[in-house]
Amino acid sequence: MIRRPAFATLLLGSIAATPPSNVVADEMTEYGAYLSGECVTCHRSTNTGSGPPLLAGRSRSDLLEALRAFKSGQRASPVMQNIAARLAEDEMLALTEYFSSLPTSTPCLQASSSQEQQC
Amino acid sequence: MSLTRRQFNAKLGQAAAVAAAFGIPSVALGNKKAKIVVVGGGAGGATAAKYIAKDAADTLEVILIEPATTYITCFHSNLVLGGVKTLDEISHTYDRLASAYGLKHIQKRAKSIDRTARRVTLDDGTAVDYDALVLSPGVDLKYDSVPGWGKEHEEVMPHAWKAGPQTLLLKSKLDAVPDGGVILMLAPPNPYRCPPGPYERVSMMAHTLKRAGKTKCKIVILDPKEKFSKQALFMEGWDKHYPGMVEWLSKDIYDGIENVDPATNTVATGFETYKNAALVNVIPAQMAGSIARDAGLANETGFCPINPDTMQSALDPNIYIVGDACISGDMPKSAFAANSQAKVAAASVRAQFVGSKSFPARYQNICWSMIDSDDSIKVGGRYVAKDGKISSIEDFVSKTGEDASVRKMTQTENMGWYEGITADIFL
Repeated sequence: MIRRPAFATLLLGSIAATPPSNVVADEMTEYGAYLSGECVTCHRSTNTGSGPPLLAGRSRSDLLEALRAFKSGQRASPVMQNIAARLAEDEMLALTEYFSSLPTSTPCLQASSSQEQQC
Repeated sequence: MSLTRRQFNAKLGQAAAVAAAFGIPSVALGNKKAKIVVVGGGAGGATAAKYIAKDAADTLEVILIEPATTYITCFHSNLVLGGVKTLDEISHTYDRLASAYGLKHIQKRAKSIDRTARRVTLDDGTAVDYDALVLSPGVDLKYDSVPGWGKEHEEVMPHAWKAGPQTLLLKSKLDAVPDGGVILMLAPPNPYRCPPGPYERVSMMAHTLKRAGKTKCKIVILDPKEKFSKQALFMEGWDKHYPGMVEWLSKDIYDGIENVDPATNTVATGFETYKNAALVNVIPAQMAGSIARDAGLANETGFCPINPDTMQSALDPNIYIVGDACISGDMPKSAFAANSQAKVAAASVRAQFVGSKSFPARYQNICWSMIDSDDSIKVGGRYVAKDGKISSIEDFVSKTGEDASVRKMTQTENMGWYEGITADIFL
Protein backbone atom coordinates (compact mmCIF):
# COMPACT_ATOMS: atom_id res chain seq x y z
CA MET A 1 0.00 0.00 0.00
CA ILE A 2 1.20 3.44 -0.86
CA ARG A 3 0.24 6.07 1.63
CA ARG A 4 0.88 9.08 -0.52
CA PRO A 5 2.49 9.26 -3.94
CA ALA A 6 6.00 10.59 -4.20
CA PHE A 7 4.93 13.59 -6.21
CA ALA A 8 3.19 14.93 -3.16
CA THR A 9 6.56 15.57 -1.59
CA LEU A 10 7.65 17.45 -4.67
CA LEU A 11 4.55 19.54 -4.86
CA LEU A 12 3.51 20.23 -1.34
CA GLY A 13 4.18 23.80 -0.53
CA SER A 14 4.15 24.76 -4.17
CA ILE A 15 1.21 25.97 -6.18
CA ALA A 16 0.58 24.20 -9.42
CA ALA A 17 0.48 27.35 -11.48
CA THR A 18 2.94 25.78 -13.85
CA PRO A 19 2.56 22.27 -15.20
CA PRO A 20 4.60 19.64 -13.38
CA SER A 21 7.20 17.56 -15.16
CA ASN A 22 5.95 14.64 -17.28
CA VAL A 23 7.02 11.98 -14.83
CA VAL A 24 5.37 13.71 -11.92
CA ALA A 25 2.34 14.49 -14.04
CA ASP A 26 1.91 10.81 -14.96
CA GLU A 27 1.94 9.79 -11.35
CA MET A 28 -0.41 12.59 -10.41
CA THR A 29 -2.80 11.60 -13.17
CA GLU A 30 -2.80 8.01 -11.97
CA TYR A 31 -3.51 9.12 -8.42
CA GLY A 32 -6.11 11.56 -9.69
CA ALA A 33 -7.79 8.82 -11.71
CA TYR A 34 -8.01 6.78 -8.55
CA LEU A 35 -9.41 9.66 -6.51
CA SER A 36 -11.86 10.58 -9.28
CA GLY A 37 -13.95 7.52 -8.44
CA GLU A 38 -15.56 9.68 -5.78
CA CYS A 39 -16.33 12.51 -8.20
CA VAL A 40 -17.86 10.53 -11.03
CA THR A 41 -20.53 9.09 -8.79
CA CYS A 42 -22.26 12.42 -9.33
CA HIS A 43 -20.46 14.24 -12.14
CA ARG A 44 -21.45 12.76 -15.47
CA SER A 45 -18.86 12.12 -18.11
CA THR A 46 -20.67 14.08 -20.77
CA ASN A 47 -22.53 17.33 -20.57
CA THR A 48 -25.73 15.80 -21.82
CA GLY A 49 -28.61 15.59 -19.41
CA SER A 50 -28.94 17.25 -16.08
CA GLY A 51 -26.84 17.08 -12.98
CA PRO A 52 -23.55 18.43 -11.73
CA PRO A 53 -21.26 20.00 -14.34
CA LEU A 54 -18.87 18.16 -16.62
CA LEU A 55 -15.30 18.09 -15.32
CA ALA A 56 -13.44 16.42 -18.18
CA GLY A 57 -11.22 18.71 -20.17
CA ARG A 58 -11.65 21.74 -17.93
CA SER A 59 -8.45 23.67 -17.34
CA ARG A 60 -6.33 22.77 -14.37
CA SER A 61 -6.44 26.31 -13.04
CA ASP A 62 -10.23 26.59 -13.31
CA LEU A 63 -10.76 23.32 -11.51
CA LEU A 64 -8.24 24.15 -8.82
CA GLU A 65 -9.73 27.58 -8.30
CA ALA A 66 -13.18 26.04 -7.97
CA LEU A 67 -12.05 23.43 -5.45
CA ARG A 68 -10.21 26.00 -3.37
CA ALA A 69 -13.23 28.31 -3.43
CA PHE A 70 -15.46 25.49 -2.21
CA LYS A 71 -12.92 24.59 0.45
CA SER A 72 -12.71 28.14 1.77
CA GLY A 73 -16.49 28.52 1.65
CA GLN A 74 -16.31 31.39 -0.84
CA ARG A 75 -18.30 29.41 -3.35
CA ALA A 76 -21.73 28.09 -2.36
CA SER A 77 -22.71 24.42 -2.52
CA PRO A 78 -23.06 22.48 0.69
CA VAL A 79 -22.09 19.19 -0.89
CA MET A 80 -19.00 20.52 -2.69
CA GLN A 81 -17.90 22.54 0.32
CA ASN A 82 -18.06 19.37 2.32
CA ILE A 83 -16.10 17.35 -0.21
CA ALA A 84 -13.47 20.02 -0.84
CA ALA A 85 -13.02 20.67 2.86
CA ARG A 86 -11.33 17.34 3.37
CA LEU A 87 -9.28 17.27 0.18
CA ALA A 88 -5.60 17.84 0.83
CA GLU A 89 -3.72 20.11 -1.54
CA ASP A 90 -1.94 17.21 -3.24
CA GLU A 91 -5.26 15.45 -3.74
CA MET A 92 -6.73 18.54 -5.37
CA LEU A 93 -3.69 18.80 -7.60
CA ALA A 94 -3.95 15.16 -8.62
CA LEU A 95 -7.66 15.45 -9.34
CA THR A 96 -7.30 18.60 -11.39
CA GLU A 97 -4.35 17.09 -13.27
CA TYR A 98 -6.45 14.07 -14.10
CA PHE A 99 -9.65 15.82 -15.15
CA SER A 100 -7.77 18.43 -17.17
CA SER A 101 -5.94 15.64 -18.99
CA LEU A 102 -9.20 14.20 -20.31
CA PRO A 103 -10.51 15.36 -23.66
CA THR A 104 -13.51 17.65 -23.52
CA SER A 105 -16.79 15.93 -24.34
CA THR A 106 -15.00 12.64 -24.30
CA PRO A 107 -17.47 9.96 -25.39
CA CYS A 108 -17.17 8.50 -21.93
CA LEU A 109 -14.87 9.31 -19.08
CA GLN A 110 -13.90 5.73 -18.51
CA ALA A 111 -14.09 4.52 -22.08
CA SER A 112 -10.98 3.88 -24.09
CA SER A 113 -10.17 6.42 -26.76
CA SER A 114 -11.35 4.07 -29.48
CA GLN A 115 -14.91 4.27 -28.27
CA GLU A 116 -17.15 6.36 -30.42
CA GLN A 117 -20.49 5.65 -28.91
CA GLN A 118 -21.88 8.48 -26.86
CA CYS A 119 -22.61 7.89 -23.22
CA MET B 1 -6.45 4.76 -15.59
CA SER B 2 -5.07 3.04 -18.59
CA LEU B 3 -1.98 0.91 -18.63
CA THR B 4 0.22 0.66 -21.67
CA ARG B 5 1.78 -2.63 -22.69
CA ARG B 6 5.17 -1.33 -21.60
CA GLN B 7 3.86 -0.35 -18.19
CA PHE B 8 2.09 -3.64 -17.94
CA ASN B 9 5.24 -5.62 -18.67
CA ALA B 10 7.16 -3.58 -16.17
CA LYS B 11 4.64 -4.43 -13.53
CA LEU B 12 4.37 -8.11 -14.31
CA GLY B 13 7.10 -9.06 -11.86
CA GLN B 14 5.42 -7.13 -9.11
CA ALA B 15 2.07 -8.63 -9.98
CA ALA B 16 3.54 -12.11 -10.04
CA ALA B 17 4.83 -11.66 -6.51
CA VAL B 18 1.40 -10.53 -5.40
CA ALA B 19 -0.13 -13.42 -7.30
CA ALA B 20 2.12 -15.90 -5.57
CA ALA B 21 1.12 -14.47 -2.22
CA PHE B 22 -2.54 -14.85 -3.11
CA GLY B 23 -2.12 -18.26 -4.68
CA ILE B 24 -3.26 -17.12 -8.10
CA PRO B 25 -2.66 -19.74 -10.78
CA SER B 26 0.15 -18.90 -13.16
CA VAL B 27 -2.31 -19.06 -16.00
CA ALA B 28 -3.74 -15.85 -14.66
CA LEU B 29 -0.62 -13.92 -15.53
CA GLY B 30 0.98 -15.92 -18.28
CA ASN B 31 -0.50 -17.55 -21.31
CA LYS B 32 -4.15 -16.90 -20.73
CA LYS B 33 -6.11 -13.90 -19.63
CA ALA B 34 -7.15 -13.90 -16.01
CA LYS B 35 -10.84 -14.60 -15.73
CA ILE B 36 -12.79 -12.26 -13.48
CA VAL B 37 -16.40 -13.20 -12.88
CA VAL B 38 -18.95 -10.78 -11.44
CA VAL B 39 -22.24 -12.14 -10.12
CA GLY B 40 -25.08 -9.63 -9.91
CA GLY B 41 -25.67 -6.60 -12.11
CA GLY B 42 -26.89 -4.04 -9.60
CA ALA B 43 -25.12 -0.94 -8.36
CA GLY B 44 -22.25 -2.99 -6.89
CA GLY B 45 -21.78 -5.66 -9.54
CA ALA B 46 -22.20 -3.52 -12.64
CA THR B 47 -19.82 -0.90 -11.26
CA ALA B 48 -17.25 -3.54 -10.39
CA ALA B 49 -17.51 -5.17 -13.81
CA LYS B 50 -17.06 -1.87 -15.59
CA TYR B 51 -14.15 -0.62 -13.50
CA ILE B 52 -12.35 -3.97 -13.70
CA ALA B 53 -12.86 -4.28 -17.44
CA LYS B 54 -12.05 -0.78 -18.61
CA ASP B 55 -8.89 -0.65 -20.65
CA ALA B 56 -8.01 -4.17 -19.53
CA ALA B 57 -9.25 -6.22 -22.46
CA ASP B 58 -5.68 -7.38 -23.21
CA THR B 59 -5.14 -8.87 -19.80
CA LEU B 60 -8.51 -9.72 -18.32
CA GLU B 61 -11.61 -11.58 -19.38
CA VAL B 62 -14.48 -10.05 -17.46
CA ILE B 63 -17.81 -11.85 -17.27
CA LEU B 64 -20.95 -10.38 -15.74
CA ILE B 65 -23.55 -12.97 -14.75
CA GLU B 66 -26.95 -11.32 -14.45
CA PRO B 67 -30.22 -12.84 -15.68
CA ALA B 68 -31.94 -9.53 -16.39
CA THR B 69 -31.47 -7.46 -19.52
CA THR B 70 -32.68 -4.35 -17.76
CA TYR B 71 -31.92 -3.20 -14.25
CA ILE B 72 -34.56 -1.21 -12.41
CA THR B 73 -32.94 0.79 -9.65
CA CYS B 74 -34.29 0.47 -6.14
CA PHE B 75 -32.98 3.96 -5.57
CA HIS B 76 -35.56 6.49 -6.75
CA SER B 77 -38.22 3.75 -6.93
CA ASN B 78 -39.96 5.60 -4.10
CA LEU B 79 -40.21 8.51 -6.54
CA VAL B 80 -42.29 6.25 -8.77
CA LEU B 81 -44.71 5.83 -5.85
CA GLY B 82 -44.73 9.60 -5.53
CA GLY B 83 -45.55 10.06 -9.21
CA VAL B 84 -42.29 11.99 -9.62
CA LYS B 85 -40.66 9.44 -11.93
CA THR B 86 -41.82 6.59 -14.13
CA LEU B 87 -40.48 3.05 -14.00
CA ASP B 88 -38.91 3.64 -17.43
CA GLU B 89 -36.94 6.53 -16.01
CA ILE B 90 -35.29 4.23 -13.46
CA SER B 91 -34.62 1.36 -15.90
CA HIS B 92 -31.17 0.79 -17.39
CA THR B 93 -29.81 -1.78 -19.83
CA TYR B 94 -26.41 -3.48 -19.84
CA ASP B 95 -25.84 -2.84 -23.55
CA ARG B 96 -23.26 -0.15 -23.07
CA LEU B 97 -21.20 -2.14 -20.54
CA ALA B 98 -20.80 -4.94 -23.07
CA SER B 99 -20.14 -2.73 -26.08
CA ALA B 100 -17.82 -0.16 -24.53
CA TYR B 101 -15.79 -2.17 -22.04
CA GLY B 102 -15.54 -5.55 -23.72
CA LEU B 103 -17.05 -7.48 -20.86
CA LYS B 104 -19.27 -10.46 -21.54
CA HIS B 105 -22.78 -10.43 -20.13
CA ILE B 106 -24.15 -13.91 -19.52
CA GLN B 107 -27.90 -13.59 -19.09
CA LYS B 108 -28.37 -16.44 -16.68
CA ARG B 109 -28.80 -16.80 -12.97
CA ALA B 110 -25.78 -17.91 -10.96
CA LYS B 111 -26.91 -20.81 -8.84
CA SER B 112 -23.95 -21.95 -6.76
CA ILE B 113 -20.25 -21.48 -6.14
CA ASP B 114 -17.62 -24.17 -5.76
CA ARG B 115 -14.94 -22.26 -3.89
CA THR B 116 -12.36 -25.05 -4.14
CA ALA B 117 -12.69 -25.45 -7.89
CA ARG B 118 -13.26 -21.68 -8.32
CA ARG B 119 -16.34 -22.32 -10.37
CA VAL B 120 -19.77 -20.71 -10.61
CA THR B 121 -22.60 -22.98 -11.77
CA LEU B 122 -25.50 -21.35 -13.58
CA ASP B 123 -29.17 -22.29 -13.43
CA ASP B 124 -28.95 -24.13 -16.77
CA GLY B 125 -26.22 -26.39 -15.39
CA THR B 126 -23.34 -24.75 -17.28
CA ALA B 127 -20.34 -23.52 -15.33
CA VAL B 128 -17.93 -20.61 -15.44
CA ASP B 129 -14.48 -20.83 -13.86
CA TYR B 130 -12.89 -17.82 -12.22
CA ASP B 131 -9.55 -16.57 -11.03
CA ALA B 132 -11.34 -13.94 -8.95
CA LEU B 133 -15.04 -13.64 -8.24
CA VAL B 134 -16.94 -10.50 -7.33
CA LEU B 135 -20.24 -11.19 -5.64
CA SER B 136 -22.90 -8.53 -5.51
CA PRO B 137 -26.06 -10.52 -4.88
CA GLY B 138 -27.94 -7.88 -2.91
CA VAL B 139 -30.38 -8.93 -0.23
CA ASP B 140 -32.90 -11.72 0.09
CA LEU B 141 -36.08 -10.98 2.00
CA LYS B 142 -36.76 -13.03 5.11
CA TYR B 143 -40.26 -14.15 4.27
CA ASP B 144 -40.62 -15.84 7.63
CA SER B 145 -39.83 -12.75 9.69
CA VAL B 146 -43.38 -11.38 9.88
CA PRO B 147 -45.95 -13.72 11.50
CA GLY B 148 -48.76 -14.56 9.10
CA TRP B 149 -47.07 -13.06 6.05
CA GLY B 150 -44.98 -14.89 3.46
CA LYS B 151 -43.95 -14.90 -0.16
CA GLU B 152 -47.38 -16.15 -1.17
CA HIS B 153 -48.84 -12.91 0.20
CA GLU B 154 -46.56 -10.44 -1.53
CA GLU B 155 -49.19 -9.69 -4.17
CA VAL B 156 -51.77 -8.81 -1.50
CA MET B 157 -49.40 -7.04 0.86
CA PRO B 158 -46.50 -5.94 -1.35
CA HIS B 159 -43.00 -5.31 -0.05
CA ALA B 160 -41.77 -3.38 -3.09
CA TRP B 161 -38.27 -3.66 -1.64
CA LYS B 162 -37.01 -4.88 -5.00
CA ALA B 163 -37.92 -2.45 -7.72
CA GLY B 164 -40.01 -3.55 -10.68
CA PRO B 165 -43.46 -5.17 -10.75
CA GLN B 166 -43.71 -4.86 -6.97
CA THR B 167 -43.19 -1.10 -7.27
CA LEU B 168 -46.01 -0.79 -9.79
CA LEU B 169 -48.23 -3.05 -7.70
CA LEU B 170 -47.75 -0.91 -4.61
CA LYS B 171 -48.34 2.23 -6.68
CA SER B 172 -51.62 0.89 -8.07
CA LYS B 173 -52.79 -0.11 -4.61
CA LEU B 174 -51.83 3.31 -3.30
CA ASP B 175 -53.77 5.03 -6.06
CA ALA B 176 -56.83 2.93 -5.14
CA VAL B 177 -56.79 3.96 -1.47
CA PRO B 178 -59.96 5.95 -0.68
CA ASP B 179 -59.79 9.24 1.18
CA GLY B 180 -59.75 8.46 4.87
CA GLY B 181 -58.17 5.04 4.33
CA VAL B 182 -55.50 3.74 6.66
CA ILE B 183 -52.20 2.56 5.21
CA LEU B 184 -49.94 0.41 7.34
CA MET B 185 -46.23 0.08 6.80
CA LEU B 186 -44.39 -2.67 8.64
CA ALA B 187 -40.86 -1.27 8.68
CA PRO B 188 -37.86 -3.64 8.73
CA PRO B 189 -35.41 -4.27 11.56
CA ASN B 190 -31.72 -3.39 11.13
CA PRO B 191 -29.71 -4.09 9.09
CA TYR B 192 -31.54 -3.61 5.81
CA ARG B 193 -31.18 -2.10 2.37
CA CYS B 194 -31.49 1.70 2.33
CA PRO B 195 -31.97 2.87 5.94
CA PRO B 196 -33.96 6.03 5.04
CA GLY B 197 -35.93 4.15 2.36
CA PRO B 198 -39.07 3.29 4.35
CA TYR B 199 -39.41 6.88 5.50
CA GLU B 200 -38.85 8.38 2.08
CA ARG B 201 -41.49 5.93 0.89
CA VAL B 202 -43.96 7.19 3.49
CA SER B 203 -43.21 10.74 2.31
CA MET B 204 -43.79 9.84 -1.32
CA MET B 205 -46.99 7.94 -0.51
CA ALA B 206 -48.26 10.99 1.38
CA HIS B 207 -47.22 13.16 -1.56
CA THR B 208 -49.37 11.09 -3.92
CA LEU B 209 -52.33 11.07 -1.52
CA LYS B 210 -52.11 14.81 -0.97
CA ARG B 211 -51.96 15.54 -4.68
CA ALA B 212 -55.08 13.41 -5.12
CA GLY B 213 -56.82 15.43 -2.41
CA LYS B 214 -56.94 12.46 -0.03
CA THR B 215 -55.61 14.28 2.98
CA LYS B 216 -57.83 12.37 5.40
CA CYS B 217 -55.73 9.27 4.81
CA LYS B 218 -53.36 8.13 7.50
CA ILE B 219 -50.12 6.25 7.12
CA VAL B 220 -49.15 4.33 10.25
CA ILE B 221 -45.58 3.06 10.48
CA LEU B 222 -45.13 0.07 12.78
CA ASP B 223 -41.40 0.10 13.35
CA PRO B 224 -39.37 -2.53 15.22
CA LYS B 225 -36.63 0.09 15.68
CA GLU B 226 -36.55 2.71 18.39
CA LYS B 227 -35.15 5.31 16.04
CA PHE B 228 -34.51 5.62 12.34
CA SER B 229 -32.34 7.38 9.80
CA LYS B 230 -32.83 11.15 9.55
CA GLN B 231 -35.72 10.80 12.00
CA ALA B 232 -35.98 14.43 13.12
CA LEU B 233 -35.80 15.62 9.52
CA PHE B 234 -38.50 13.26 8.31
CA MET B 235 -40.80 14.02 11.21
CA GLU B 236 -40.38 17.74 10.69
CA GLY B 237 -41.11 17.27 6.99
CA TRP B 238 -44.23 15.18 7.63
CA ASP B 239 -45.59 17.81 10.01
CA LYS B 240 -44.88 20.53 7.52
CA HIS B 241 -46.11 18.95 4.30
CA TYR B 242 -48.51 16.24 5.42
CA PRO B 243 -49.97 17.35 8.79
CA GLY B 244 -51.92 14.60 10.52
CA MET B 245 -51.29 12.10 7.74
CA VAL B 246 -48.31 10.19 9.18
CA GLU B 247 -47.97 8.40 12.49
CA TRP B 248 -44.76 6.64 13.50
CA LEU B 249 -44.95 4.04 16.26
CA SER B 250 -41.93 2.28 17.70
CA LYS B 251 -42.13 -1.26 19.01
CA ASP B 252 -42.32 0.06 22.57
CA ILE B 253 -45.63 1.62 21.69
CA TYR B 254 -47.34 -0.98 19.52
CA ASP B 255 -45.77 -3.90 21.42
CA GLY B 256 -44.75 -6.01 18.46
CA ILE B 257 -46.55 -7.61 15.53
CA GLU B 258 -48.62 -10.56 16.73
CA ASN B 259 -50.13 -11.55 13.44
CA VAL B 260 -50.79 -10.38 9.92
CA ASP B 261 -53.86 -11.62 8.07
CA PRO B 262 -53.55 -10.93 4.36
CA ALA B 263 -57.10 -12.23 3.70
CA THR B 264 -58.64 -9.36 5.65
CA ASN B 265 -55.80 -6.83 5.47
CA THR B 266 -55.60 -6.98 9.22
CA VAL B 267 -52.53 -6.44 11.37
CA ALA B 268 -52.69 -7.37 15.04
CA THR B 269 -50.14 -5.80 17.38
CA GLY B 270 -49.71 -6.28 21.09
CA PHE B 271 -51.50 -3.00 21.62
CA GLU B 272 -54.06 -2.66 18.87
CA THR B 273 -55.57 -4.52 15.93
CA TYR B 274 -55.84 -2.67 12.65
CA LYS B 275 -58.70 -4.19 10.66
CA ASN B 276 -59.40 -3.79 6.96
CA ALA B 277 -56.50 -1.52 6.24
CA ALA B 278 -56.69 0.17 2.84
CA LEU B 279 -53.14 -0.95 2.11
CA VAL B 280 -50.47 -2.89 3.97
CA ASN B 281 -46.83 -2.56 2.92
CA VAL B 282 -44.71 -5.24 4.58
CA ILE B 283 -40.95 -4.65 4.45
CA PRO B 284 -39.50 -7.77 6.07
CA ALA B 285 -36.09 -8.44 7.62
CA GLN B 286 -33.27 -9.07 5.17
CA MET B 287 -30.12 -11.11 4.66
CA ALA B 288 -27.39 -11.53 2.06
CA GLY B 289 -28.44 -13.07 -1.26
CA SER B 290 -28.63 -16.86 -1.11
CA ILE B 291 -25.70 -17.55 -3.41
CA ALA B 292 -23.35 -15.93 -0.91
CA ARG B 293 -24.92 -17.64 2.11
CA ASP B 294 -25.00 -21.04 0.42
CA ALA B 295 -21.30 -20.70 -0.38
CA GLY B 296 -20.56 -20.27 3.33
CA LEU B 297 -19.55 -16.64 2.94
CA ALA B 298 -22.00 -15.23 5.51
CA ASN B 299 -21.67 -15.35 9.26
CA GLU B 300 -24.34 -15.67 11.95
CA THR B 301 -25.75 -12.25 11.03
CA GLY B 302 -26.79 -13.49 7.60
CA PHE B 303 -24.41 -11.05 5.95
CA CYS B 304 -20.86 -11.46 4.67
CA PRO B 305 -17.76 -10.28 6.53
CA ILE B 306 -15.16 -8.57 4.35
CA ASN B 307 -11.61 -7.28 4.52
CA PRO B 308 -12.12 -3.50 4.61
CA ASP B 309 -8.85 -2.80 2.78
CA THR B 310 -9.96 -4.58 -0.38
CA MET B 311 -13.58 -5.81 -0.09
CA GLN B 312 -12.34 -9.41 -0.27
CA SER B 313 -14.39 -11.89 1.69
CA ALA B 314 -12.91 -12.41 5.15
CA LEU B 315 -13.48 -16.11 4.53
CA ASP B 316 -12.17 -16.47 0.97
CA PRO B 317 -9.62 -14.06 -0.57
CA ASN B 318 -10.50 -15.21 -4.09
CA ILE B 319 -13.95 -13.71 -3.66
CA TYR B 320 -14.92 -10.07 -3.29
CA ILE B 321 -18.29 -9.17 -1.81
CA VAL B 322 -19.73 -5.71 -2.40
CA GLY B 323 -23.02 -3.96 -1.82
CA ASP B 324 -25.93 -4.86 0.42
CA ALA B 325 -24.75 -8.44 1.04
CA CYS B 326 -21.55 -7.47 2.84
CA ILE B 327 -20.99 -6.33 6.39
CA SER B 328 -19.96 -2.79 5.61
CA GLY B 329 -19.09 -1.52 9.09
CA ASP B 330 -20.21 2.06 9.49
CA MET B 331 -21.43 2.35 5.90
CA PRO B 332 -25.16 1.95 5.28
CA LYS B 333 -26.51 -0.41 2.66
CA SER B 334 -27.09 1.88 -0.30
CA ALA B 335 -26.44 2.08 -4.02
CA PHE B 336 -23.93 4.84 -3.42
CA ALA B 337 -22.10 2.64 -0.91
CA ALA B 338 -22.18 -0.35 -3.28
CA ASN B 339 -20.76 1.78 -6.09
CA SER B 340 -18.01 3.04 -3.78
CA GLN B 341 -17.17 -0.45 -2.49
CA ALA B 342 -17.13 -1.81 -6.04
CA LYS B 343 -14.43 0.70 -7.00
CA VAL B 344 -12.28 -0.45 -4.08
CA ALA B 345 -12.80 -4.08 -5.12
CA ALA B 346 -12.01 -3.24 -8.76
CA ALA B 347 -8.81 -1.47 -7.78
CA SER B 348 -7.74 -4.50 -5.75
CA VAL B 349 -8.52 -6.90 -8.60
CA ARG B 350 -6.58 -4.75 -11.02
CA ALA B 351 -3.65 -4.48 -8.62
CA GLN B 352 -3.54 -8.27 -8.45
CA PHE B 353 -4.11 -9.17 -12.07
CA VAL B 354 -3.08 -6.14 -14.11
CA GLY B 355 -0.41 -4.79 -11.81
CA SER B 356 -2.09 -1.42 -11.34
CA LYS B 357 -0.81 0.67 -8.50
CA SER B 358 -2.93 0.34 -5.40
CA PHE B 359 -3.90 3.11 -3.04
CA PRO B 360 -5.46 2.97 0.42
CA ALA B 361 -9.19 2.24 0.25
CA ARG B 362 -11.47 5.25 0.46
CA TYR B 363 -15.22 5.00 0.66
CA GLN B 364 -18.01 7.50 0.57
CA ASN B 365 -21.76 7.54 0.78
CA ILE B 366 -24.57 10.04 0.50
CA CYS B 367 -28.23 9.11 0.83
CA TRP B 368 -30.67 11.71 -0.42
CA SER B 369 -34.34 11.38 0.46
CA MET B 370 -37.19 13.30 -1.11
CA ILE B 371 -39.88 14.48 1.29
CA ASP B 372 -41.91 16.68 -1.05
CA SER B 373 -41.46 18.72 -4.21
CA ASP B 374 -38.35 20.87 -3.79
CA ASP B 375 -37.64 19.38 -0.39
CA SER B 376 -34.91 16.76 -0.18
CA ILE B 377 -32.66 15.93 2.74
CA LYS B 378 -29.39 14.02 2.86
CA VAL B 379 -27.05 12.14 5.11
CA GLY B 380 -23.56 11.06 4.18
CA GLY B 381 -20.07 10.27 5.22
CA ARG B 382 -16.57 9.23 4.32
CA TYR B 383 -14.95 6.02 5.44
CA VAL B 384 -11.61 4.23 5.53
CA ALA B 385 -10.41 0.79 6.56
CA LYS B 386 -9.70 1.05 10.27
CA ASP B 387 -10.00 -1.23 13.28
CA GLY B 388 -10.81 -4.18 11.03
CA LYS B 389 -13.90 -2.62 9.49
CA ILE B 390 -15.05 0.16 7.22
CA SER B 391 -14.96 3.01 9.71
CA SER B 392 -16.50 6.45 9.49
CA ILE B 393 -14.07 9.34 9.51
CA GLU B 394 -16.59 12.06 8.80
CA ASP B 395 -20.33 12.39 8.54
CA PHE B 396 -22.84 15.06 7.72
CA VAL B 397 -26.60 15.38 7.67
CA SER B 398 -29.14 18.02 6.65
CA LYS B 399 -30.40 20.20 9.47
CA THR B 400 -33.90 20.71 10.75
CA GLY B 401 -35.30 24.16 10.07
CA GLU B 402 -33.20 24.63 6.97
CA ASP B 403 -34.17 27.34 4.52
CA ALA B 404 -36.38 26.24 1.63
CA SER B 405 -33.67 27.32 -0.81
CA VAL B 406 -31.22 24.84 0.77
CA ARG B 407 -33.76 22.05 0.52
CA LYS B 408 -34.44 22.94 -3.09
CA MET B 409 -30.70 22.81 -3.82
CA THR B 410 -30.54 19.43 -2.09
CA GLN B 411 -33.38 18.25 -4.30
CA THR B 412 -31.42 19.37 -7.37
CA GLU B 413 -28.40 17.45 -6.05
CA ASN B 414 -30.60 14.41 -5.51
CA MET B 415 -31.88 14.38 -9.09
CA GLY B 416 -28.45 15.19 -10.50
CA TRP B 417 -26.82 12.46 -8.44
CA TYR B 418 -29.18 9.91 -9.95
CA GLU B 419 -28.12 10.92 -13.45
CA GLY B 420 -24.48 10.79 -12.42
CA ILE B 421 -24.42 7.48 -10.60
CA THR B 422 -26.48 5.62 -13.18
CA ALA B 423 -24.07 6.88 -15.85
CA ASP B 424 -21.17 5.78 -13.66
CA ILE B 425 -22.69 2.31 -13.28
CA PHE B 426 -24.20 1.59 -16.68
CA LEU B 427 -22.59 3.88 -19.28
